[in-house]
Amino acid sequence: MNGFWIIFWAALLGLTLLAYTTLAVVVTIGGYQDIRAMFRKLRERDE
Amino acid sequence: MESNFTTLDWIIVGAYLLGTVAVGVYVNRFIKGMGDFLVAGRSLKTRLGVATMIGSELGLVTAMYSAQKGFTGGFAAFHIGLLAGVTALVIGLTGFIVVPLRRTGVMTIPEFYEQRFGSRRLRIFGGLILAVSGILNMGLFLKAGAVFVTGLTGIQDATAIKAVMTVMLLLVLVYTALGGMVSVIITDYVQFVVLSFGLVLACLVAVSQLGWQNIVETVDVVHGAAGFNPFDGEGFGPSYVVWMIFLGIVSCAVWQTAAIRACAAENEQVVKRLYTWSSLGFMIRFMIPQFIGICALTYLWQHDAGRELFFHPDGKLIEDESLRAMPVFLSQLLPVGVIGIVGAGMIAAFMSTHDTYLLCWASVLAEDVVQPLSGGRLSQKTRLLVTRVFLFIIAAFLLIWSMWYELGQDLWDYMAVSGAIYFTGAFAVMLAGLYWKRASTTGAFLALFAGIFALPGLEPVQRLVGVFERFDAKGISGAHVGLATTVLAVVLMVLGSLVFPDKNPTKGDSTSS
Repeated sequence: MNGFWIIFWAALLGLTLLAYTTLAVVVTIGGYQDIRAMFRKLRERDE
Repeated sequence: MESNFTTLDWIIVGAYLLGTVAVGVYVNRFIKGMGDFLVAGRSLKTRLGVATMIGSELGLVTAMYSAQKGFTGGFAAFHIGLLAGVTALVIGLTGFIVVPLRRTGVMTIPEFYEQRFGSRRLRIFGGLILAVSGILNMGLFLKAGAVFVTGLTGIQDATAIKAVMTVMLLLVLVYTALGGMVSVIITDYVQFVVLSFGLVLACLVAVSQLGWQNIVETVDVVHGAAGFNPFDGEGFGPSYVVWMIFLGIVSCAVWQTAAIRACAAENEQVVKRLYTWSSLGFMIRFMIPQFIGICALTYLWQHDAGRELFFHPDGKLIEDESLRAMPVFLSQLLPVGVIGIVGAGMIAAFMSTHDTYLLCWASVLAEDVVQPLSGGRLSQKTRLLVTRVFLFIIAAFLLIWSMWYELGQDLWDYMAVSGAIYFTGAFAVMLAGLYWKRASTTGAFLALFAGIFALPGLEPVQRLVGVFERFDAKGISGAHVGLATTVLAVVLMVLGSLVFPDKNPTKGDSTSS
């Protein structure tokens, strides 16, 4: 029975690490652009 | 055990902390009112929203309690992250609770109570319950932070640790009080970047040094089958798994710090995308630290000094020491410089969680208790001032509570139970308020009141009321108490609504249509 859980958790850990690394790259780049857009919006509203 | 932490690492940490304060000072110029302070002028877009949601949820405290769960529960602890991710994904795809909540245009959950039920007293009562539960919930953050700094740096002087934690808390206060949600978003973003890559790197280094097979075998030796199978009664058991499903729902849809992201989103589509994307973050925020906790178990079990510190002679874990396992392990694993970067990321994570939570509970007290009590007459400037005063009062309480309270159980279980005082009732009220036209004010009052019955889930409370031995003998845990309280809250919500209906029960149309 442990065999099933070991494979299951190993596969889940591997997949999530891979997916999370991809997400982190996308969000890091995109988030920086969003921060600039947010400041632009706040600045334009103040003017 | 000697730590690898050096002066260079302290310099890296110091530079990072000063940088975050500079951010708070810089963005202060954009804060013109409560809308900017609390929800950043509702200008949050998807990618930044994902970063800040994960950033605030993947804090040092999360890393600490998750690593502790991995240490004490083995691979079976992964079910907590898996269920958190799946429930967040379902909420993102369906918009369950969060989309109708965003549609209401509210900034806090108690504000929703007033809008939906037309009762200012309900808002004040709900705000108080939320704030008390939330502040208790973050009551041990400082302690967790202190344990982390001690474990990582190898500092043993208790006074020095308290001084470090106080300075960190003051830094958080300064930039949160100055910049509000805008500075919180920026620091959450930076913290997300540093910590995401830092933790993934730590996992890879740990596996390469310890070996996967070695890790699996150690978990098998220490925990047996319960270290792999979450349904095994010797470990977590079925009730705990069900409790985690419920926690997965409430932690992303009902818990104020996560729900405020939905409130701050630009529109409803962004809300759904935010939760769908963040589901991975909700899963990983548990799984990566849990895995590091499992690696810590392996490392400490196989080293004499570690075995002496963290295990009884018969091989059983010393529960009180389990929280320290992850930082001690990292202090041994990581080289000079890298340990400073990971340390800065973790301490930033500590600050990130603190700023979000401090801002959240201070704003709830200001907007949902003081403002309604004043009859809504406070000016924007006064409301900002009141929020900032609450920030400092809560911070002072946290400092005292962290030093006084004896944990007595895993940190995650303490947080689940203390949070349950609020979210068991809030879940029932929001569910009924958003989806059931006949939900009434009396039902909402009763459901929120029911949350108090979650208190016996805390071990010190059990000892105080003299039921600890009875609970222990019958195997009644915080999970059982939490689930029973949830059922009670839902039943009271339904019964209260049916027996004492509102005179004008159609208010729900505006939020559920």
